Amino acid sequence: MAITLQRARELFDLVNRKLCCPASSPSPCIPFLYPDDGCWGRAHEMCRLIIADGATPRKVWIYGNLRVDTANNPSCNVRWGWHVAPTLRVSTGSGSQTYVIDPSLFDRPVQQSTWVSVQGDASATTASTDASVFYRAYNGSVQYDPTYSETRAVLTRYRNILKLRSASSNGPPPYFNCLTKPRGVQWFGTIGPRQTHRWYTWGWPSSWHVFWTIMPLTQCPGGPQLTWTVQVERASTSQCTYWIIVKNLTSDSVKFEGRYDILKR
Amino acid sequence: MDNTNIVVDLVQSISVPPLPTAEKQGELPPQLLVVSFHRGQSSFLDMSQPRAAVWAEVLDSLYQEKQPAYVEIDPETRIITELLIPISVTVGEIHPTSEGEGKDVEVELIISHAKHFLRSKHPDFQRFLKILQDAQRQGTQVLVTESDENEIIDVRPLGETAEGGQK
Amino acid sequence: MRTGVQWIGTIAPGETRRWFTWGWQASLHVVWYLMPTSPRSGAPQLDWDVAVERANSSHCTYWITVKNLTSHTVRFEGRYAVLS
Repeated sequence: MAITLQRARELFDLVNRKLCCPASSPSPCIPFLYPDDGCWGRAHEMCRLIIADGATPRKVWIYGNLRVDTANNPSCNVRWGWHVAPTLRVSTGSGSQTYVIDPSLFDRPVQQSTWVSVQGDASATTASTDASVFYRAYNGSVQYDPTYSETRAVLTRYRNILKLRSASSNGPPPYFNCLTKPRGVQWFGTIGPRQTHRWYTWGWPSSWHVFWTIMPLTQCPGGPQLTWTVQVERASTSQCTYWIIVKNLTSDSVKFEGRYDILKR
Repeated sequence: MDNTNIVVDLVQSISVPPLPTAEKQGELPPQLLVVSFHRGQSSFLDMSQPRAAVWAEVLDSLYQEKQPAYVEIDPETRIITELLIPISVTVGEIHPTSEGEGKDVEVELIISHAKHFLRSKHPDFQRFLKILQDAQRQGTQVLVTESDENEIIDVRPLGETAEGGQK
Repeated sequence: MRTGVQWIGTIAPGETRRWFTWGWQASLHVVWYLMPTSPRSGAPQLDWDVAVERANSSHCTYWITVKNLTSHTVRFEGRYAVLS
């Protein structure tokens, strides 16, 4: 039976809340921030959660020479031979459509055509299965995991790999080389677990009214990550320097944006 | 010349070493954990390194899950310098790729949806390729370790380890 | 820029308490500040700190820790301004 788009959004949020904070990746979180591999484990776990919440998902499988741009890989893209995600039948004004639940690619449920289109292969093929299918090969052969033991092992593996990547010199996702600095962002920074660190930015006209805020880029639901204070130095008759002290409240490294707003020039 | 030892094996134990006798008065012993492997190799985890705490957690997870670890060990200090997680897979298609240098190959691993590459510039390219081709033909499983860039850096038949193997 | 009152709070004498507000678009530049609604002149009543959590790829949660500097209950507005 088709559900409403609002209900699909609720189910998306349900699974998205299970996202792993990348540096600690505590079980039973889902490692959406490691898009490189493990999709079949993520999809099976998402289906389990969706079914437990009373909905009836299916799965969509895509096969091809897939390539997806993502800031969650240090190379800014991932390459796949296939991919899988849960689907839901959603009522629309003109009947019903298949929507895909895939937090590794999107921040909301999307129509299947949209999900296919971002994977970079116009000649990719798709197949639909019942949610109980754990793995479907290109030739159609399937495997099941009714006890979710294989699912648990897959998720454990990719949680650990996400932890290792986050502890490496690359740090946790997202990766700055994949990002474009938006307007109003002065710098990208990284701050280690429980650290307090000070940044400064100089050459600002002291006649301007400038406000500074910090926004984490590393996703980690469950509690506050960063707090900050601002100090100022009158460097000359016409210019000032801002000193922004950032404090990491968590035991994980956090990447963030240092933002400014010029309230009056 | 790189003289790193490579071990691919189940973790047997992770423990705190006995306190050594300080050679110099007031010298603090390094913060080390002893990581022992199933087939007898042992190594140290230098806990003064920023990533060591995470490595200790991952090694413990692999121990709990009875899954092998891939570690590179400095032959002089026995300190672990790299930790990766191998995957046990069957081998699907193997075909040349036009990307990269020379005669690189792309390898389908089952179950994995990532694309995997064995680069011809790897010193063990021919040996790894043969292991993969044999496993493909026989339908047997192999243990594959990749770098963070999804490039294959170690391949061995499942059940084999690399005691004393060198990089 | 737009401003608003997100919540009305009450804090006991000398208490420090934290509120959170979720579901904010992480792309917005938002600042938080407080205004007591119960007049009592002569000394500062409230101090506050702001912390932020990136809940997912597009949303964040703000955590505002409020400290009552007085020996009386203070009722206040939790205000925000969306700067850009």
